[in-house]
Amino acid sequence: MKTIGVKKWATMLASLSLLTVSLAACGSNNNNAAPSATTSAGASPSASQAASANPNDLSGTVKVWDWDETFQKGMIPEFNKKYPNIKVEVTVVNPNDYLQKLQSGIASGSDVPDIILGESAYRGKLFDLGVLDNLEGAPYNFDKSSVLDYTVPYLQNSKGELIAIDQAITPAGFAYRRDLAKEYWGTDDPAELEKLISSWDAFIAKGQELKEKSGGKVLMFPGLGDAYIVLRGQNFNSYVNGTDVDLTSKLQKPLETLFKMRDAGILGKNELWTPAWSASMAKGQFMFYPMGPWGPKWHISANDPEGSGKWGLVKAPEGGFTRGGTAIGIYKDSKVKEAAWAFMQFAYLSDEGSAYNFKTFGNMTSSKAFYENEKALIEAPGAYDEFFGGQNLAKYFMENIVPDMKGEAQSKYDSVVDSVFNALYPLWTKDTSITADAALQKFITEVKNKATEATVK
Amino acid sequence: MKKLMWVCLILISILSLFPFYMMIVMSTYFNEDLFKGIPLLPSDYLFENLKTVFKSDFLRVYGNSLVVSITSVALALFTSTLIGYAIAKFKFRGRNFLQIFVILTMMVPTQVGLIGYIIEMRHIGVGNTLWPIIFVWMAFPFGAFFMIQFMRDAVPNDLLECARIDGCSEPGILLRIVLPIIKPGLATMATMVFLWSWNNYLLPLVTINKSDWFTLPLFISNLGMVHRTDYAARMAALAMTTVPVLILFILGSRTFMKGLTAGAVKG
Repeated sequence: MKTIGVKKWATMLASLSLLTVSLAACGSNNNNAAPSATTSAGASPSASQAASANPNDLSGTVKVWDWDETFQKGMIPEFNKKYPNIKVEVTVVNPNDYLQKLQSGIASGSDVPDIILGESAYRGKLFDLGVLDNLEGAPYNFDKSSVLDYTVPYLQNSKGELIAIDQAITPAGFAYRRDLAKEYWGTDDPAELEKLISSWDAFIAKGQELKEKSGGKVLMFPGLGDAYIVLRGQNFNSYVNGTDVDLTSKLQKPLETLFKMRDAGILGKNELWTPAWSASMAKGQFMFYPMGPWGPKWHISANDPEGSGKWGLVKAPEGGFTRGGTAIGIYKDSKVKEAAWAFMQFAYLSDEGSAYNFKTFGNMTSSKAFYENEKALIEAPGAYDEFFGGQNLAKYFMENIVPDMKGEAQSKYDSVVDSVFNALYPLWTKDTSITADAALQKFITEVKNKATEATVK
Repeated sequence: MKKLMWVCLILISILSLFPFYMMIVMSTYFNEDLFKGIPLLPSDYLFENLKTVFKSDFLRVYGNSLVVSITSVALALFTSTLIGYAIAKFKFRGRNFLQIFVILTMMVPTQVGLIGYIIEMRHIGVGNTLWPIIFVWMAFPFGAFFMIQFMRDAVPNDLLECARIDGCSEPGILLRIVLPIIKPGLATMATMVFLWSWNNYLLPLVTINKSDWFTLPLFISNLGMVHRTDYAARMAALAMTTVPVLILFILGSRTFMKGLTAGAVKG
């Protein structure tokens, strides 16, 4: 090896220049690739200046991150009929990655969508980030009395500001198998079933009867997870106060009932959202699945495509609960706030958008006015009524389930509690020696570990 | 003894190939039928699954991934070879520091530098394009480290001296003498960089905000996702994603193995 000389320096310089050339080539290519990204930014400011009642005057490009591309592909053309100058750009983002992607976008100052979706799994955390605009302020001036009262707490942050609207309401009951109900209980009429399972004790008794009659082939729920969704959801009490997390008041009773069900042997051993759980719908091993208005399309008919007529909807023992649900807000530094708000209003609140949404996807808006103005639409057969044995699902949700719904304040600890539950319940399923009390204590310890700043009891 | 070895080899081969077989078989099923039992024999739903995959712009995504991986490989090889050659074969001030610096940067996990990297990319003006996920391979510490070691072991200094004495120019030495010797190393690194960039998920996830620029891992995770996971369609897409890489690996496996064992025994 020899010490480097002038000649070598020249060579190194040459290779460096080669590198620069190749880099420059990349740069010039990029200019061809970039315009799509820059046009949106360039078009933005016009919208924020144009706050006008005339839809034609609003313009700009609104960016949305959504996982439901089908919805947006249907809704955007409808929206553009009324607002031809607003372009809505959708990026498909998996809900599991949504918050991570959003946070790195915000932290790095790069692309952040104008319209942000908060799925129930991470909604509390999103609200806590402080990146959503207060919709009661200018330029939105949203009146919260225009939406169903019970939904308001789901849309507020801890300061009480209303920072989102509902994609659709998600009051939930049970989807049930009509064929099984008829076979083992002699009726598949929702009104009759309501009476049979009017309380959780009655539910457990009926479950044991079902298990005996079917020789253990048919059980009530696919797993502990499904039962927990209902039991926890029915307890609307707020359990978080600052950093005080009162799990005992929130979960003691639900867990006791849950373990009673487990010990009665009326729950399956499936974990939520697993392939086996999805496949169980078509197999007819379980009577009930907790279901909100989005369920008929995405949940039941998707997993049991040949099950038309086999399903029904009944309300849960002792009242309604919420199942899933997505809050939609506007990024506080968006440059197209009016245009974004116009789209949100049209797609999720207006009579026209809500009618399209309802007819095409079965989604039910949170806007009170819709249920006054479009009564005929609710009365008419909906997209999935046929699948549910001709039952009017929307009407059942509105008349039998919504009236006893209450709202539940959102908190950043919600997702912690959910993740702890998801980590723990498979063990509770397997190890039946664990009692409700021991489970609650373990639950509290785990939440403490994950939320170190909180006082958990 | 030989028999036992064969039995072991066959057993291990079956064990490691079975998941690939399952992936291909699963892509021929209707999603909800997948979990009724263990699907061992192919079913008849492949066409429908392919339809699900292709109706959502699969070819463009495939193209994106190819562009990203091939460009990444080219850039990574280019920079790593130059760094490796310089540090392993030339004496200059700061050489040791450079080598330590390369190792130091290897120790920083990608996740830690992620936000900073995105900010950097945005300031260069290539945010929200494919460039950030290509450029990341250009300053690729492991590649540089690998090449330094490889050059040190595989390229004899005497050979370079001979070339110099015979009057070969410095670029000529690199191109005509060094490059042919380090071919196995280049092949190894090319395969690795290709695989890593092909399978990269985190970086595209946070940097790409336009469906037009999605790469395969992003696309597959978004496929048939809304409230029902279409595993069968994902498997079909995954099979189409994995098979080319598999072929690439088989083609390059001879040189790949050479590269991995190079320098193990000094002659």
